[in-house]
Amino acid sequence: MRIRCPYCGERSNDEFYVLGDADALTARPSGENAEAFHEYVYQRTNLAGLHRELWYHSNGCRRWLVVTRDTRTHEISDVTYASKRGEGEAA
Amino acid sequence: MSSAGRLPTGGRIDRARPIKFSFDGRSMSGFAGDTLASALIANGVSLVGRSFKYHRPRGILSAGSEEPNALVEMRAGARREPNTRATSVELFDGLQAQSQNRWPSLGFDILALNGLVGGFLSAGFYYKTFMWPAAFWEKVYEPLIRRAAGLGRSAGAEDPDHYEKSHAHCDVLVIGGGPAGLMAALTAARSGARVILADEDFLPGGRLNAERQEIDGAAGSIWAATVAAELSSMPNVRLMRRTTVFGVYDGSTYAALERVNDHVAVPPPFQPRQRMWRIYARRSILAAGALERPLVFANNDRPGVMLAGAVRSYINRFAVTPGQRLAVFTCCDDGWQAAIDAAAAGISIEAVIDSRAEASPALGGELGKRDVRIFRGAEVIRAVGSRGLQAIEVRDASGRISSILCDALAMSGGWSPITHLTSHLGGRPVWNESLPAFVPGTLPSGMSVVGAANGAMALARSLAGGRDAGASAARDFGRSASDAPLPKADDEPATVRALWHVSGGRGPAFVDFQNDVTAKDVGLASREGYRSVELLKRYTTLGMATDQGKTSNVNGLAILASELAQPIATVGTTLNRPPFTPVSIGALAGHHRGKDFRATRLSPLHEWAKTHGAVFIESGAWLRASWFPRPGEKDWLESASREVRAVRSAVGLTDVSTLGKIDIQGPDAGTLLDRVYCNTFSTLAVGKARYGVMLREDGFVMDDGTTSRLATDHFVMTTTTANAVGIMRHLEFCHQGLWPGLDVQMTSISEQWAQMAIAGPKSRETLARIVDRQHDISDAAFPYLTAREITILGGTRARLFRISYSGELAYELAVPAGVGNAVAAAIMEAGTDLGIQPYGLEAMGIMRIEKGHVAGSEINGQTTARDLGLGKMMSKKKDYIGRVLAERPALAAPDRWGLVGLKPVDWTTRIRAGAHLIPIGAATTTANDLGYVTSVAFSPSLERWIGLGLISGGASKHGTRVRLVDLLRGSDIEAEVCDPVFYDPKGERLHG
Amino acid sequence: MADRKIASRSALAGLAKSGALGVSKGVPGVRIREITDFAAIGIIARRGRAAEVAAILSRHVGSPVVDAAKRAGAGAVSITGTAPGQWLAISRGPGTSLDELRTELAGLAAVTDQGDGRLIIEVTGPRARDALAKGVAIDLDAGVFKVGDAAQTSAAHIGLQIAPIDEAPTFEIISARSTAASFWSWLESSAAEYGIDVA
Repeated sequence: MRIRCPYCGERSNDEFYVLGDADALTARPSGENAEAFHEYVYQRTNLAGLHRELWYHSNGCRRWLVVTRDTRTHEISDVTYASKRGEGEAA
Repeated sequence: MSSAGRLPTGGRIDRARPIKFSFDGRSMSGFAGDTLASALIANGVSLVGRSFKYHRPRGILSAGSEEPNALVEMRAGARREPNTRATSVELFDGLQAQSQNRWPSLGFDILALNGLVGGFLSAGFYYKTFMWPAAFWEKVYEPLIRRAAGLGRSAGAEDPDHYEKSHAHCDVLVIGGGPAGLMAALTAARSGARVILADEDFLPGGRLNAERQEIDGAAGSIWAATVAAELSSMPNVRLMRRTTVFGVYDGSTYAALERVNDHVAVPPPFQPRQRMWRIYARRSILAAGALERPLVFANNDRPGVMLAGAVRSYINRFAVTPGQRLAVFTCCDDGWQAAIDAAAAGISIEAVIDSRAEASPALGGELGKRDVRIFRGAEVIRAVGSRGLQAIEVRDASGRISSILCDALAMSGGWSPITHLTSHLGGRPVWNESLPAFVPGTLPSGMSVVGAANGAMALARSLAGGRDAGASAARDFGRSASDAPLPKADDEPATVRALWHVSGGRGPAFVDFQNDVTAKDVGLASREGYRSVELLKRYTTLGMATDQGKTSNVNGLAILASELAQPIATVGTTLNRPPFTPVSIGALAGHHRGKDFRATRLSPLHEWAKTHGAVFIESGAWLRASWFPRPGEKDWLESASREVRAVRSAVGLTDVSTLGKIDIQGPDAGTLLDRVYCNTFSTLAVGKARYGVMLREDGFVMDDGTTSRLATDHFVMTTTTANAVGIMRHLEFCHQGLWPGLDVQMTSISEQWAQMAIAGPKSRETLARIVDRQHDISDAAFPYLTAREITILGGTRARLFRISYSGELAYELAVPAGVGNAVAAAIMEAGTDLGIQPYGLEAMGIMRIEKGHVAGSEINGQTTARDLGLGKMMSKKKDYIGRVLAERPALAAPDRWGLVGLKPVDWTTRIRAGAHLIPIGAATTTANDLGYVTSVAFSPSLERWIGLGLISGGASKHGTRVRLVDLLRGSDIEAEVCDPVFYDPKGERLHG
Repeated sequence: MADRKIASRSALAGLAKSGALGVSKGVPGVRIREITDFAAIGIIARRGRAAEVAAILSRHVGSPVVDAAKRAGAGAVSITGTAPGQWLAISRGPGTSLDELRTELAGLAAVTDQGDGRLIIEVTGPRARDALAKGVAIDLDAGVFKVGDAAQTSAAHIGLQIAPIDEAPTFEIISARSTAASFWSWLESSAAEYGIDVA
């Protein structure tokens, strides 16, 4: 699989480390609600289709990326910096 | 030389360059340009191997990489390589080949009895027969089956050759160097596109080298050579011969194996034997050609029965003939060409048998005049002969059976496009009834298919298809392909009427030659309910092993379809997966074997440790100094104990450079640290160090280490060696993924700094001798947990941390990596009269167990901060990762396994990590398991064995006794549970 | 104790001995030189200050420094983008330092010393591309990877930074000190068939 890193360009997936569902992982709850944390830590959808996931370009610019990938075809339609999720800006 | 099968003239071989080789120890000779198979035929060899299950004599079926029969062991000694297809081995001087799967000899094989007892090993035989008793499998059945049914032997020695990988990028990858591929590559290349043409053969041209068709009025092989020469001369083209594209992967990535030096006895110095390529291609053009199908009739596996196209390859390309009296059996127009070419080469044609009553009278051309017997609407029902073909039995249109003497039979069941690479990403080939064959279905993105691979089974169409695909790819890159005229060629007649199975002959009719699967087996499997083509494959082994059913799959599933009375399109086909042809493990490993299996990391103090005679141990990617033996010491324990005593009584120096070191700066650095550590760092004073514990979000401990504050907005973190990479990634995730608004800058500085611990009551005195005068390191000026930037040895920048892992007065000194060895040497020199000694990982481990410090054995992903006695560090005043879930009731339960010390009641008894903790007097059962021993050491300070462990109830069990039961090593030792800090429990020494 | 000169040891010291390696016929296809005297600093702009930092870097190196995977600088000092808002500055030459730049960047960027943790080599020669392609997966073609470009990637599972610095071509490769021996083993084995000259 090839991922077009917004900084480094297109690279093979062996340069990256994958973590999983980007929406779940970056939505850390605040407060004391253990249920909410339980959802955050353990519950993941495993869908067949477009999936936003976190990939870390470990052998490149060390940026966490949000990769939108079709899990059925491995076709990647979008790659953005995880830090550009609306809040703040790139480091 | 013997040239029993060699034709006097012709062929694309170099008769001026004879080549010596041996087969089963017999010296033979061939020519440059031969394959092993063609050279064997030239030497009159028709029996080449024995079959997998029945040990039936087998010859050569094909002239390419699809060969199921002619598998040999190549070379000898450490280079011996089993299951090599003689049909694709390029002949070289000194080649040694042996037949395989025969005992005691190729000509006489005792296990051929398997073949005499009929259905002995029929479909599903293994599953049905060797079922009981289960214990027999390992000792009786399996060895028996392995001896009876097997392929060649591996070398059993380390491969002396080296292999490597490489990468290539191109606009257009053309797969296959036949007419369509050459034309596609030429068209794309002339437009200026970057082109790679990969061809598995050593001579580009594909079928053009095997046929007598003409292009532009000359032999097709001449056109191929001209095009190949032009491609070779172009700077934008990489022409890769002897290279098989064997896999297609996501993102237009292709894997190819280049057999760089398979065609020589020993690779020239410094050259690899094989090179594996990863090719990134924006477009690919598949021009892999087609495979001819055998016909399925009784004894169709007899040596001398050969594919018609292969017969033409041997006659036209290699100038050898598989026989002197040839018969042809075909269900398509193409088969006739074998008779025509053979006749032209002076070989006697005994008969042409075409199963089609309607076969065109024009076929065969001049053959009629030569008095050749021609049968239309007839079938060969049986081959006669055992180690070689002697005759065939023909059933003519009227049903009359006659016998025809011949020593070679060319057969053609039509051609199947090589669609394999189109399926590697899940595309299913589709059935085309008019060919009849499977043609490519959904294609991998960026791929187009041309020529025979796309079902265009004729030369002019192939050339046109190649040109169009090349031009289209060029246009995709905005390049204009010049309208070079298409070379002139004719389309050969190519009608086919399927003939899947000829019944009525006595003897097994093989579908899959390599796996000895017969038409009867396919029928039996279907009657037993294995009606899916995938199940058929697993049950009968049809299509398995090294050839992956290249010559058998279509026939097999057509027979299944006919058994099920369903159309072939409905039955479908198994999906091809990489690799297209076998790939050696060596090529997949490439450079990465032995010491290069993975990268090894060496500490900046490596040379220093080596100078002091360190014994190194692999620890993750690192080589770490484990202990420093001295003459007369009998084992590691004696050396490590001596090192511990030196630290506890004087001073020692050890390398801690492998710890992860992370520089954290910015106004929000303290905030980030507060969020990732369970304890607080924003309040840490500048110039101070603090021990920190990080939790995972699920509440368990992730890592620990010391973080120091060098300036208000500047911290330096250390992580454990094992987690260095993971913690950096975690911190980047926390920053970029969770809190991108924080103004924090993090950089790994693990490589930049050499770090060493100087520990022991005389450590300050030692250090004072190298620290530059202006830096006061007295206890008053530099108390415990001080961290400062200083200079040493007259201006060398350093960072000094007064922290202690050993429990002694101790410091960690970081210096730039380049001077690490020199600084360590200077400290050793400075401390000589104080008794300084180097100490290693083992001594460090002993001292941390004496002090009850946790390490990887305790921070094992299943322990919480409370379990490890670190619960008080968990701040109640701030949020941090892991805070909420660490409070889950189960993680705070009083019976959780908590950290304790363990002392064997008999102090001399050695205890072992991994032993389970069982109550005294209770049975040794899982239900009674209270925990286990995590770390042990012989404490030179206490002169006894001690251990750390996790026990249900933790500290509440202090003072009780348990058994340490190690069923693996057979020990059962009584021990007292105690506080984990065995040495200097009040911690007075580190304040010394 | 009195001042004392201590010797710094380069990452390849004792590994890459100068002279010929591999095939010894004809002109060596690959020439390798280790850069032993240099200083390096890692630079990460504070939040929102990347443009100001780039401007200072441009002034310092005498050519435009952009916030991208590019290498600027033809003389002793070079600046290479390593991540958004991040650069690696290198100054070559004995006794060199980047202290002046460090001072200029105070308050605008986090600066860390990196020179001791790095190996720098230059690989050139007619077969340099062929040798490097055995580990480096990016496209090294002259038309694609041009002087001024830079990339962070890996070879033989070892992370590295690579940039073509002239059209010979000569590639500057920067990698970690700890894996220098393994990196050298891969490079030597990859280039040996073309003949190697180690400067």
